Amino acid sequence: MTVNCAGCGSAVTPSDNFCETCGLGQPTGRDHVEIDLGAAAGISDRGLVHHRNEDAVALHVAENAVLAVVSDGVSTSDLADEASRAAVDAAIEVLAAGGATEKAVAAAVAAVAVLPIRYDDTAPSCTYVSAVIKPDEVTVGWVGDSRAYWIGATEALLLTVDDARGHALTAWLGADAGEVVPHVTTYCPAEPGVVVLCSDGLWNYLGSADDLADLTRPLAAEPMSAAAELVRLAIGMGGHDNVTVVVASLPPTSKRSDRR
Amino acid sequence: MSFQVDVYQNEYLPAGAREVNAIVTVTATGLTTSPTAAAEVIIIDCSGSMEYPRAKLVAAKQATCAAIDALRDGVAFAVVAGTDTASTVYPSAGLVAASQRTRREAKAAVQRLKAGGGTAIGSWLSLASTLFRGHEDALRHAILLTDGRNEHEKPAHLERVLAECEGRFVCDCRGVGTDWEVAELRKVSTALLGTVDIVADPAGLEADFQAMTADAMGKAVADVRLRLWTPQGAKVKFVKQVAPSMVDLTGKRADTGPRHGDYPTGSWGSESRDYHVCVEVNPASVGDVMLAGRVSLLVGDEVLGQGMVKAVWTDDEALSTRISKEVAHYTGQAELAGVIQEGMRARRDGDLDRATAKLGRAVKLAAESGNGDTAALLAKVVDVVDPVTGTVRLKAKVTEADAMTLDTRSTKTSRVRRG
Repeated sequence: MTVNCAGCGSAVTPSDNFCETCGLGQPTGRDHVEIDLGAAAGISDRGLVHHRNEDAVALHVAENAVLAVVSDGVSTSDLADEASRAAVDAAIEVLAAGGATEKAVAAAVAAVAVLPIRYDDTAPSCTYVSAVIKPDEVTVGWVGDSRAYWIGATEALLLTVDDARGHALTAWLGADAGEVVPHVTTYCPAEPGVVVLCSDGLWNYLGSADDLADLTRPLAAEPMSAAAELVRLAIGMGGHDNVTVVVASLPPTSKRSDRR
Repeated sequence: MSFQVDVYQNEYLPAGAREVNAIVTVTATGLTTSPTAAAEVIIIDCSGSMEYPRAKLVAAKQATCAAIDALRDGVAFAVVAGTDTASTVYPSAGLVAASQRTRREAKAAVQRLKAGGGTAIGSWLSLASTLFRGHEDALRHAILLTDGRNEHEKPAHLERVLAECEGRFVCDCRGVGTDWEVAELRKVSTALLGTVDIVADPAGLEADFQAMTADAMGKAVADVRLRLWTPQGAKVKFVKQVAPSMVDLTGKRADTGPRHGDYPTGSWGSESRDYHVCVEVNPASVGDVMLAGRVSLLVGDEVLGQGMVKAVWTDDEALSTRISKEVAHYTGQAELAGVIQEGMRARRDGDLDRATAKLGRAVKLAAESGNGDTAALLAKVVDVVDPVTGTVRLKAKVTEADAMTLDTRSTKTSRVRRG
């Protein structure tokens, strides 16, 4: 199969994703990622400015629980895309096996720490946020400035507190991060709703829980549509960063039961 | 056998930048255990000067015998005596397979060698090239020993022979004593992808020949080429081997297609070498990523390893100002070799201010990069006042051997420290 180069238009054999004529990198599978599991959906997009998507997302639907992890590679660190990918892969595996959030973070830390350090003081680094969504509660764990929101039928809450001073991270996963102690909090909502996880590519444009709620509530019954709408908004406002959004129903029921 | 190719670079460039630099480390692994067919020609200078002092010819004979003993059974070999012409010492024609008998006969023939006549290195290499004919599938290696300048043929003749011999065989060159010319032998070793070194004291020849032959016997694959693909409109600024020694391969390119060309790397055993690739590309937009080069290692038509050199344009200065320590290290080693050669040339020409400045810079670079071997050689030619600033004084008395050793080994690089 050949496709045409996004830059010079000549035929590209998509073996290593570069144009054989002009060398330009072609869109990769990671530039836009969609995961739709019905009760939960996640979208990760490169945005309009960055040369690659350094965010990563993983979703898993287990018996009676939905598990989600989002990570944002720190773009000033090296191999940031590999860091976020390694973090979510390691964490979702622990969560899917029934492991606690703290253990998932520890696994993510270990996975990022083994990446090579090619430059002094730029060890591969990333943020972390995960949600373990059960019928009556959501447990959120985070390190860095990726966020979790609770959008109920009436209430809207930011569940996380950024590890950041201004735009500078004060905590992250990476070999140069020192000991990582994740924040973990459990929230038991009084009404049904959705949990939203996102990287700063979304919340830089849409920071307040109330604004997020206004956009999300009309689509709450369809997590995939809600996630798509939020990503579209971020890109419409400039798409200056990679943007990743997870929308997951609580209780974690299928769309059919939502229709009731 | 496979070649592992690792690329070290800072792929981030500021908007509009064109130059992409990368260090490519090639490590040969998984050697076959069955020995590869090999052919060896040992060329011994038998010019009249080898008798002065007599120890030179005696040591050269001993060294040649040691090299013959180091040949594996079955390796096709010959010994050539070089004067103002070249003649085979053993066997009388062509190459012969090494065995107990042929080794004994060869050593006996070597012992009967007498010195007399001039030096015509081009004709020696011509004969070696003829002897290798019919052994194109084998690893082809020559050792060339001389003690003098190439005085008995025109420089153009040597140039012509080198052009003919390029790619035909690998040749390690040794200069014994101090009456030979470093630049001349370096030209031969560079053209024929071998090493060059000085053996100032003839007593050191035997161990050196033994080591060189053992190294040649350790090679497993011949005629390995480094293929560099670059995008349309790109210009290859240079391709250099930078470790274990500095060898500029830029001019050795043979185009193999519209956007790629091959650079010869000679024979490989279990070893690792570093290359510095510098490519100028047409800049793309901020946010774009480009393949600026694809480096492949080939034997015949088989690709045995591949690595990618990339360029990413960014408006983030924190990324584009990062220094790749590998690129920085070898840029420094290339400058080190250059300033030593320029400094020694200035010193010979009597331009002592220039010599002091160049060799001072060399001392600073050697100290910074942890190249202890070169620093020690420099300290025999200059008094180091302060290695940090590169403040030096030329020594009043320097032996010719020390001066030539520094010049000859100026291309030896230190390996970049990783981790």
